[in-house]
Amino acid sequence: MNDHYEQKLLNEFVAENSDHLESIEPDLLAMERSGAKVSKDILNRVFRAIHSIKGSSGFFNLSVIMNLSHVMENLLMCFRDGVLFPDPDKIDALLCGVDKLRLMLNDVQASDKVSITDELDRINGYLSGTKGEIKKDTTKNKSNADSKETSGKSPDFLEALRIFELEDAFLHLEKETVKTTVASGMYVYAISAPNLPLSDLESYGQILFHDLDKESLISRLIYATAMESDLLCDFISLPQDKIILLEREKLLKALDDKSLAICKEKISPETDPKNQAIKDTQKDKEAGSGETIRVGADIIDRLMNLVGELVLARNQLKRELESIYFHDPKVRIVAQNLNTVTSKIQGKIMQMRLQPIGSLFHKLPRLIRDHGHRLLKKVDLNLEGEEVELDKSLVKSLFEPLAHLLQNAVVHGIENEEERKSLGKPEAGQIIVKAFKEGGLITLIISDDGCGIDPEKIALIFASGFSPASKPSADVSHKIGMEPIKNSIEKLGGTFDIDSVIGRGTTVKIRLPLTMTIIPSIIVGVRDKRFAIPQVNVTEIVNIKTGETGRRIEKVGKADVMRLRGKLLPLLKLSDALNIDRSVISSDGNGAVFDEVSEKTQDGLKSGQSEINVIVMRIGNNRMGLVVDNIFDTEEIVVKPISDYLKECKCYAGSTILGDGRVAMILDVAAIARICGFRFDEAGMEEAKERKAEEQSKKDVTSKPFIIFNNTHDDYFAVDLEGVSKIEKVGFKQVYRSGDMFFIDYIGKALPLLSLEKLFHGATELEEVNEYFVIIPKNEELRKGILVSQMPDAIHTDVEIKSYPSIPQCITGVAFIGHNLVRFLNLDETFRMSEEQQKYS
Amino acid sequence: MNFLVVDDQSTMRSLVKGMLNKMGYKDVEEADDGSVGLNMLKQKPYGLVISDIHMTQMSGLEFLKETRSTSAIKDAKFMLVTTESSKAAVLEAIKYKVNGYILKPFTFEAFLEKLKLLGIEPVAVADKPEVQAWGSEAGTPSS
Repeated sequence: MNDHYEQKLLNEFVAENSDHLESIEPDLLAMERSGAKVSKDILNRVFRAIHSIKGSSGFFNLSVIMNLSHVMENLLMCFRDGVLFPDPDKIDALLCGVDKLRLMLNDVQASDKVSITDELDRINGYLSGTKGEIKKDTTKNKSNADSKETSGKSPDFLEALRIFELEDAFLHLEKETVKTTVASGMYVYAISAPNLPLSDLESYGQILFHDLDKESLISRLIYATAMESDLLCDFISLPQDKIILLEREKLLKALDDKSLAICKEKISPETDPKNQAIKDTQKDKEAGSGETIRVGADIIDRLMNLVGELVLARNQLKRELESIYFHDPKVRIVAQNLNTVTSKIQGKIMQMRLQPIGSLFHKLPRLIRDHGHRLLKKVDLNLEGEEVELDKSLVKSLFEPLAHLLQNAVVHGIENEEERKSLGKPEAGQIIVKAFKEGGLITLIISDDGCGIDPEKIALIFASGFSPASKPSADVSHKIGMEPIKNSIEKLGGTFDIDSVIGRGTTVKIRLPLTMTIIPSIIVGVRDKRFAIPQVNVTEIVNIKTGETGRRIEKVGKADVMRLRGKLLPLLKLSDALNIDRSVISSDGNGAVFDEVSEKTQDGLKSGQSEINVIVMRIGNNRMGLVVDNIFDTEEIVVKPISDYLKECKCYAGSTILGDGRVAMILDVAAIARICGFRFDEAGMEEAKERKAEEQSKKDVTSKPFIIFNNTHDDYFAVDLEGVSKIEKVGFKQVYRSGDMFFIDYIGKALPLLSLEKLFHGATELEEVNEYFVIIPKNEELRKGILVSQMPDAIHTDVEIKSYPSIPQCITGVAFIGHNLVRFLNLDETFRMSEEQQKYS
Repeated sequence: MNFLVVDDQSTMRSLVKGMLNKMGYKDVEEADDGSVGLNMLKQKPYGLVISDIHMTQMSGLEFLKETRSTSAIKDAKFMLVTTESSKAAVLEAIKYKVNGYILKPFTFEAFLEKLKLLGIEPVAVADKPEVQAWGSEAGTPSS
């Protein structure tokens, strides 16, 4: 029982002081930055934290912890008194001390076995440079309990009075007064000294007797005060031998003997019944203001589970009620009330579990500092959004990946000082860690202004098992494998994106759900099965109408892709991914309907005529579309961990019970994509390559931008982009004919058009296509446009344009771009040639 | 006798409370800040207030000053738990008639000694043998 109590107390001690240590670290770093101009507030805060560790460890006989915190405190005291300056060396010593303290707190029982000699020697080394005061402090501290017995002690109080020639004083003492002072806890001293600050003494206690030797100006006092002897000596700046502590019992006894006067005992003021009179209103007002209670995390977790059950029950009840009693206003009100209350409880409990991310952020400056020192790089860390709160479990499990990322940034990202200078960057590397809320998500951004990662290697660093060990870093941009970081973030239900520009730095974006156990989801159906997709993953839902499927969905190799705003989106049929086929017999008798659906989608999406629902999802930097049969509703689902024997099914993140009581699996979209062989990495690499090529081509002087287009005869032409002012889109009907000339209405004027068909094939009629494009040259003297039948495209190329003597003058040369032979036109010559053609025709 | 222990560190409160319990006093209430303690003190009298000097909202010193300047509670017995580093504050507290102060960290013996100065002795508790042991050190407890 007693052991249990002690253990509880010890646990509390550990918890509290671990918190203290957390708070010390950023403060120490701040001290290091400010150097001699260290802020008093910060110093005091650190001092207090260390001090309370020292104080409470003393109670538990944790002598090693106490000794270490004691020297640390002394060093801090020297900072405060201005004896020493908090230079990086000393701060480093303190940080090492903090590490040791943390180590010992983690395993208090074994703390006595930890060796702290290194830390002690180091700090004592600094201290020995200062005066001996501190040493004295240590001894004083040890004997604190018995100090007042030894100091100012006397064998007999009458003898003591005799030493100070105060025997007569005794006769003048009022027993009553002495009793009162003693009862209030004061010590009684005999003092003999010149020039005593009498009025000060009077305000800090009570002078019971005063005798002034007029010749020597020596005051002899009997003085009652709450000050202990060492403090009193300090206060009146006297050595210990000038004051004598009188033993209270003996003094009182002597007074009793001396005086036979009977004194009426006064009631001591300690329990005045009048105090009992209290104002109830005040009590009510003051009660519970700003109080906090420590509650075990396990209780909150259990509560959380129960609330999960409650939410489920509510969802089920809601559904039942809606179907039966929807029109009964009474039931609806009750249901609504239940709804709001449940939501509120859920919200409050979630709030209980929330913790500001600052507690995580505070650990980061130290990390940066240590890596920076080790590599002799200067790094500034800027933290933003410390107040953002997220689930406690998330805060904890975020540390590892975040530490990893920051290490990468310092070790591989930030260049050394000279290099930075030569690049025109600020000397100190800038790392920003930013947290903010965005919808139901927490976004964390970690960016550095270092050297960046080669886009081709981004995919590589995600490859499993990649680490500098397996590939010795000849290239500084090599980073420690990101795979484990990405995995741990995804395990938390988050996404992980990386974006890097060579020479400018790297930005990592992590998106995380606020809480993990109750998440908004979209419920989708495949055949008669239902699945939940966390909304976090979903960017949009696209419905392709019956009849449009052929146009919107294309096939690339074996895979289906969809064109979404000009970008290709790979599609995956959920039924294929999960191997749900039509042989599944529907349990609720709707089998026939589902069979029909599956029949239509059986031969690929392109041929299907029924409408298709595509859920567009974001997986890291990539997007994919998941094709499902039905989309039902959004629902707040309670995540139930997946049972052990289903653990092998990697495509599920968990299960849940829906409002109608059905069990639904929660899809792990990233895992599904992986299982189905979606290789975003390659696609990403391909894209990155393109981007790189593009960037390089921009720098390359020999490469030029061209407008490339073709006419209805599928001849490919290119013109120099420099020579083009504008491209107009016109409908077939908007092209006017006059004789064999074509015109369009361009800014109110008739603009004659040059038809390439006519020029090269002698055609006189326009083919009727939906729309034409008119390329309008910059050279206004030409006053003509080129009629083109296909959407022109802009390209960068440095292909060698070959010229042959046999080709017409208007063509500067030909080249292969992609797989097409492209003729490069000289606009001036082309127009001249067309005019000549007209003349002769 | 009842006690009010005021400290923003729960460990310290538990410790002081434990020591009082060891002395045989079971009526110990806690507050985590001077302002909270002050309100509690206004509600009912305590045999002794034991307050830490460093607290975030209202320090022990302010708590003491408030107590001494509120007529209904100005005579409350008040002991401050202080540190070596807060001499000036201790002097200030003495000016405001603090009844005693004790330096952190302190042993149970030192604590007993301090309370004895204020006329508070351990009381015997029959079913707690260790209190007997303590009691014998600090004078024989009356049974």
